[in-house]
Amino acid sequence: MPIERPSGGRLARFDAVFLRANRALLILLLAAMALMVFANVALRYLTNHSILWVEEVSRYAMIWLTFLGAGLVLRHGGHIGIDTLQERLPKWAPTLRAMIFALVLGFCAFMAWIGARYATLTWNQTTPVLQIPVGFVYLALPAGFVLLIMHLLLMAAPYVRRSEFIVDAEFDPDAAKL
Amino acid sequence: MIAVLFISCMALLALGVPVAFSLGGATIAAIVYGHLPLIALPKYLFSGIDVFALMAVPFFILTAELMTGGSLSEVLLRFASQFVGRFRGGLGHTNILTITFFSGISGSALADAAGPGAIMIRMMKKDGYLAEYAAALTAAVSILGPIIPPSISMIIYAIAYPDINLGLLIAGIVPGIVIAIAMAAINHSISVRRNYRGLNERLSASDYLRNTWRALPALVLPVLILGGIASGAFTPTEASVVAVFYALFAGRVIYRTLTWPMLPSILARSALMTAAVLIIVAMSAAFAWVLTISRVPQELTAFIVDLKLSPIAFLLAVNLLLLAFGIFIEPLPGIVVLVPILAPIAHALGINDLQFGIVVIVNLTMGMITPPVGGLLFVTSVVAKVPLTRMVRELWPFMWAQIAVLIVLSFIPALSTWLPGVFGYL
Repeated sequence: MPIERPSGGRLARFDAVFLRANRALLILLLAAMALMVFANVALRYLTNHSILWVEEVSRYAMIWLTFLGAGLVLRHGGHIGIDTLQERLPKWAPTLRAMIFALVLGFCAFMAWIGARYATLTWNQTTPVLQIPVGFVYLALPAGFVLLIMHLLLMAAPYVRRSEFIVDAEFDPDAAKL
Repeated sequence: MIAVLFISCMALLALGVPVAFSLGGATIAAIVYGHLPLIALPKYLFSGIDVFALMAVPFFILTAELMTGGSLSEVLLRFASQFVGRFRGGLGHTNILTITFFSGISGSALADAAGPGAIMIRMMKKDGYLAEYAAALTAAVSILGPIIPPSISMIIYAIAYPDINLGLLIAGIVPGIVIAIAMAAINHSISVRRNYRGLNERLSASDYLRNTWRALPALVLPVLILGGIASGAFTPTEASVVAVFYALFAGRVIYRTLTWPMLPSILARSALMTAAVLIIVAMSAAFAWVLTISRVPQELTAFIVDLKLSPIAFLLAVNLLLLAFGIFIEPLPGIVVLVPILAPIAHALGINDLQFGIVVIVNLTMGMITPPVGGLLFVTSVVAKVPLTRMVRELWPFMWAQIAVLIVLSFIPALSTWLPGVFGYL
């Protein structure tokens, strides 16, 4: 499957940076989670103490990872869905994908809005250990869905016309080396 | 409200909206229709994944990716091949045994299919097996990923039904082996019919020793994870992160096939898989909340208790329900939504928690090889380069065999409870 980047120099360049930044953020979050939790296990065995905030912070990192990753998963076609209808009705497939696109876009806009409201409403509460506003955690929801909207808009044309996603070696089962 | 919830979910799924968004959209529809507070949606999205025990999910994913990146599949493959390669259908048997071993390292079916599965499909094609047969066999065996521990499905099951004990992780071993044997029996009979030959390799004793020695560091990993958990040294989350660093150590220091520049890619891929899994878990949690406040669990429980079903009749009914669900729904939403409702009923009827957990997980995982939503079929058909429709024909014998195993697991609790009993769970 060929890769089609959005045409137009500036948009394409923005998209490339955007994709790379999103990917880098996910790598950092996952690496930080693994290092923190492992350090805590090691500490518990070596010194009988563990760092109290690790459990809290790693949990929040996982929440951020989930929502910040959802858009990139979408970009790679990694969200599981049923394509049977599109395969059975090839003539209607672009129309169907346009409908799916509109529904997902509407859903993301709604989630971004309700997520922002939830984060503001809970801003005065603080987390049990670190005593930071829980809003910092709940911000993951609107942030993630805004990213999803951006990814959706950037992938719109190739997806609706030809059901194309980004194909690269990193997230492709066929690329597993022999 | 329940009708709105289910009908809108089914409609969105049928249209082709991805599972996570279908669950979320249906939840919104039901909330609006039932005049419930909308703010509850983000609340339950978060509470669904704000769970420390869930951290084992990204860590088990990362472990499997590190092991695959460290070309562990090839090491396990050679180890497996020396035992079963010379028999009729030898590469098929090697495929089954390799994936069975790999399932002791990976916690998801997709990791099995995309890792050793992809390699085996190519080898089988080259050796003259029908491509669609190689793909079907690999998809069918890959369901062992979440059945043989470690298992992402079991971690999520234990969060959905907290009354269960950690013996669930160990309970999958014997059923997993039974499934592997059933798959090997099918492979044997088809290989006889189509004259798929065994491998023609002469191995000396020193070859056996070297292959086994090479595989040893990989085979230690499941022992480390399960031993750590069963002995009480680690919680499952701690065991999962220890497994990550052991995999890193094995790949970098022992096998030396894992290089530092490979790490960002491995981390990125694991992070994407984690996000894809956890967004579904979060949406399912909100979906399940709507069910709970509509008192569906309570009413269903009362209804089933009134029926005075025998435990085995209940188990068979649950199996039928889940098979029907599994055709359309991925295992994880199935677990998050249905287990909090069904597991307490099973418990009240006197069915062992561990047996019920295994039956549910085996059943829902089988849904991954039934179209239209069969994640495993998609991966293996892409690797084998065969259209899905031709692959499905080759799948039938494996599916029937798995249904037979499911019935056996329903009738014989000891298959699921014996080994956890040995380790002191129960």
